[in-house]
Amino acid sequence: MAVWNYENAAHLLKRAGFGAPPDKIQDFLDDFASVEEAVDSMLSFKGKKSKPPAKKDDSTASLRSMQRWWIKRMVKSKRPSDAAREKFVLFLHDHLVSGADKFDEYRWLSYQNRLFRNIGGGSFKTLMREFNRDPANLIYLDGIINRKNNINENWGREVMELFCLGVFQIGDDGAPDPAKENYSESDVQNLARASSGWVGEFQNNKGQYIGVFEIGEYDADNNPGNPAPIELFDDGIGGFAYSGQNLRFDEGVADTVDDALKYIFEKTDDGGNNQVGMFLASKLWTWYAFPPPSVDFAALGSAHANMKAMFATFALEFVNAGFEIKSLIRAILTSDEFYSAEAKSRTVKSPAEYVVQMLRAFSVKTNGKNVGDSNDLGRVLDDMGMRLFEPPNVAGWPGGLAWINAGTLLERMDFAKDFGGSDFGSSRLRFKKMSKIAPLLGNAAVVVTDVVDAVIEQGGFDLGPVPLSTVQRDALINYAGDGNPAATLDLSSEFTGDVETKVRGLISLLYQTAESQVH
Amino acid sequence: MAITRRQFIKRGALATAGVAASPYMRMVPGTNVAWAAGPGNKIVVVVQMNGGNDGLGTIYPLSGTQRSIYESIRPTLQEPDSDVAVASKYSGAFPDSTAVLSVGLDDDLEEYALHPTMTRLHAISQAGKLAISPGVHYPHSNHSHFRSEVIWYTGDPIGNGGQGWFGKTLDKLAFGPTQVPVVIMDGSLNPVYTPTTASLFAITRLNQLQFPANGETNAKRDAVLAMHGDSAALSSVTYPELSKIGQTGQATITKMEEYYKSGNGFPDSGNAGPVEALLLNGSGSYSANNDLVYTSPLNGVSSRLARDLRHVAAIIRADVGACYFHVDIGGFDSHSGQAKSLFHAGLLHTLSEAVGAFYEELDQSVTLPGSGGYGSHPYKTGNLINDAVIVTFSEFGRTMAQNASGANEAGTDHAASAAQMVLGGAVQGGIFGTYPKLDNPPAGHDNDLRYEHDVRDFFGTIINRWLGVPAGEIAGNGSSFVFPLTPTLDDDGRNYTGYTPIDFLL
Repeated sequence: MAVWNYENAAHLLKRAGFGAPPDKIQDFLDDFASVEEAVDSMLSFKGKKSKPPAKKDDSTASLRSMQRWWIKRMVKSKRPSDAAREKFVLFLHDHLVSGADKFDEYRWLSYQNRLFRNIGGGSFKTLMREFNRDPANLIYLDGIINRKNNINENWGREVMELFCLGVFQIGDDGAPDPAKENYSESDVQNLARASSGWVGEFQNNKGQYIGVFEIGEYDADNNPGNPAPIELFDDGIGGFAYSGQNLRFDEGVADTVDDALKYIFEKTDDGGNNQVGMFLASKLWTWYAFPPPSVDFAALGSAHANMKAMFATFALEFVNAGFEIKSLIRAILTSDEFYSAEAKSRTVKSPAEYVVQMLRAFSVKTNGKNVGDSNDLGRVLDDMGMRLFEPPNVAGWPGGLAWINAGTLLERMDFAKDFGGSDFGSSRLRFKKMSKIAPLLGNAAVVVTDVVDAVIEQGGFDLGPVPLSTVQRDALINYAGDGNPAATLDLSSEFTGDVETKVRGLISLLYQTAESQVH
Repeated sequence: MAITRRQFIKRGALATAGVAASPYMRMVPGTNVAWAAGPGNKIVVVVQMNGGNDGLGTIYPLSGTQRSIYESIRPTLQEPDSDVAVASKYSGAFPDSTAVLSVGLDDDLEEYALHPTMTRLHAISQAGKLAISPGVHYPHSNHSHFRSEVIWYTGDPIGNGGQGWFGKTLDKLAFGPTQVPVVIMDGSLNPVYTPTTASLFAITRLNQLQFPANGETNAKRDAVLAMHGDSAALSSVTYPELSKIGQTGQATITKMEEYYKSGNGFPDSGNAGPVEALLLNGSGSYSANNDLVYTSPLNGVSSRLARDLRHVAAIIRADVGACYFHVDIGGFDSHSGQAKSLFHAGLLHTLSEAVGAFYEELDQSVTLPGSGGYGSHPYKTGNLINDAVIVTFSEFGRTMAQNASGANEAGTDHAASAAQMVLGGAVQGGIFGTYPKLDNPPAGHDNDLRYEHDVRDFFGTIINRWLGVPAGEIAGNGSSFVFPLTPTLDDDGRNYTGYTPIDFLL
């Protein structure tokens, strides 16, 4: 079991949530006795009941207002478990994708966000069943036009490829193995047939559209005397049939899609590991730790032979807990490998992680509208390549280095400038609230190295992804001391002198670095 | 606190991340030196018409059976087949529009014309430098703007997204991590262009390319550049992401100074960067409409597209390493009122004036004020048209028949193929192939124009014959190909089996 110390507490808060300022990291460390206790607390997802971004009957919700609502929640989440829920809902938004580009009303995505909040951490199988009938998904993946004699394979394909199984089995190094396919094209078609007949229906008593099943639109052999089952997987484990006037559901399942999901959730890889578990393990490991393969698996200090074996233990926890996603996340966050140096240095922050971590580390609030001279925060993330509620396609955001190019890096650097300069409105910098910087205030002659180190520590740059080098620290000292490393700065007032220029300048500079883009 | 304060480490030796040698890596002309930092001589400018341009209203039949059908299905949206009718309909609003603008015959010897307001592009057609590729699209047209756009970007008829064709081409051309060969002029990061290794700028105004600092710009810029340099020197094996971002940071900061003002770096310090200097008037502020400082056909052409193309011209002439550009013009989603107040005609006129003037701008030598360069950095002042290809596209064409009878109400809806244009000094003019027949729509889609050229052949020709990527790498199954083959029988039972170039480039 990984040691419960400040560095690991900071890492857990950053990765399972959106980070915290140094004083809150210390509180978190003090509140728990072990990694396991801390992880259990975060994954309780407790905290204030969170309303969805748009009211259920509000058809006028704008994309920007919904984005602002969510970003504000990410920033303001007080308890670590609140932040952990936001981070996890963001994962689901990126994994079970529906995008606003296919809607004329954004509220569908508000319902979906609520669905993720309410049941997302529970059984993944239940979530998939509910996700199928979620109006946003029915529109986005063409469920509402997937009907008898007019099969649309969009949903069937993505359940296989992107949501549950992946195209390929997981290889030894944790990455997909192109030699081992999980399903065939006919499986996609047959899953689409088995999922047909779900249409959107406006229900006045609920004031919203919901997905309902219409048996007349179900595409199955409806010859009463000779029901031919829809086959799924050529290893013969699947089969659903419509006979006579009734659907022959397998015992204990709730609807047609649940019937089909039963077979998908039974699928195993060559090693007998549950494939849904393996696939989700690799997805969640990528989300919380780093993208496989490892650059040096031996250096992770793992008890396992390779990445695949590690995923297999996570997958087993998932299966044993009745496909509960939280159990899988818990297995990841309590693993020794999660606290390795590689897991602390190889994930490029998404725009949401970059922006929200920045605000939280410096105890800055926001109404979501802007930070200093910046745009609306929804627009800010959009400009960095992350349009919340409208991922680029059903595969979600590509992530990793795809976040960074000259254009997006410039947007990030520009936001760092606005952040350092923020001196009005709800998101202004309040230096007295910054536990590392506040003790220096009121002093008219602080040695420049102390100021630089205080700002570095406030932002957590002393911890990683790689501690700042002497060259980098010297560059900051050179800037703050105007070339003189022995200079002193005047921090006597929060609103004038070197606080207004150099401290703000140092904050901007730190978030313009490569180190601030990675965790 | 358990951690040690000030645990600052000295990092390991520089791990050189060399650009992988490519068998067809381009060389600086006349040398064996790989094209590492300077711009190439091949320019591509992509003009996107957002909303789905009505191809049949842009390039239309002039005579014969196709004309008869055209007149019957478009009673009020049809374009004229006589000079008298053109003058009567358009010369009031567009004085140059006095004649039918024939672009010649297709392979079936049917005659077609450019929309009467596109006089400026017609002059280029007359000079034999405008190619028309009729009926460009892909199997099973998707009528969603977004989905269809993604398919055009990726050349994958399934529409699953992912890296686009231009980005993959840039990877094959082996642009390095410090290069910024692409500039997108609509400010959004268009996935079609994003390379894996090199970078791009997405801007709407040049001043977005300014080092972000609230004062003390030089001191801050120096500090950030030094810090990125140290990150770039990290081991690319242990820290693949961090070292790459360090390289991108160095490239971003140094490169943007070649565009916009900075007191640092680029050969001669001064107030304006070399690109910006081509758009400023004598007193150091932007000239009217961001006109170019020298005599250019683009100056005074009033539209956002023309302004963006003036920026592109300045970037090309300033010779700062960008050679591929994206510009766009919106408003083509004409479900209704397509002819009301000459709506679609006005859009096509704007397109023709801006793109035509841009062609003329490159097709001239320019005389620059002063030394003709930026300090010791030379500008490109010669005729560049033989180095440039300009290509249009739109996510789909529109329905053949108009959707309402009233002259002001009629519009057209989302459909399938449309004619696209390619221009440049090296381009072969004329119509390539057969214009899709109005009486032969794809099976089950009575109001769509069938496609005659697959989008993979259309863009593939530019990738292969203009940018030099071998034909064998254009289409196939697997990530090493620019386009996925994705065997898909189309509505007519046709199957795309491989890349076939179109002869608008030889």
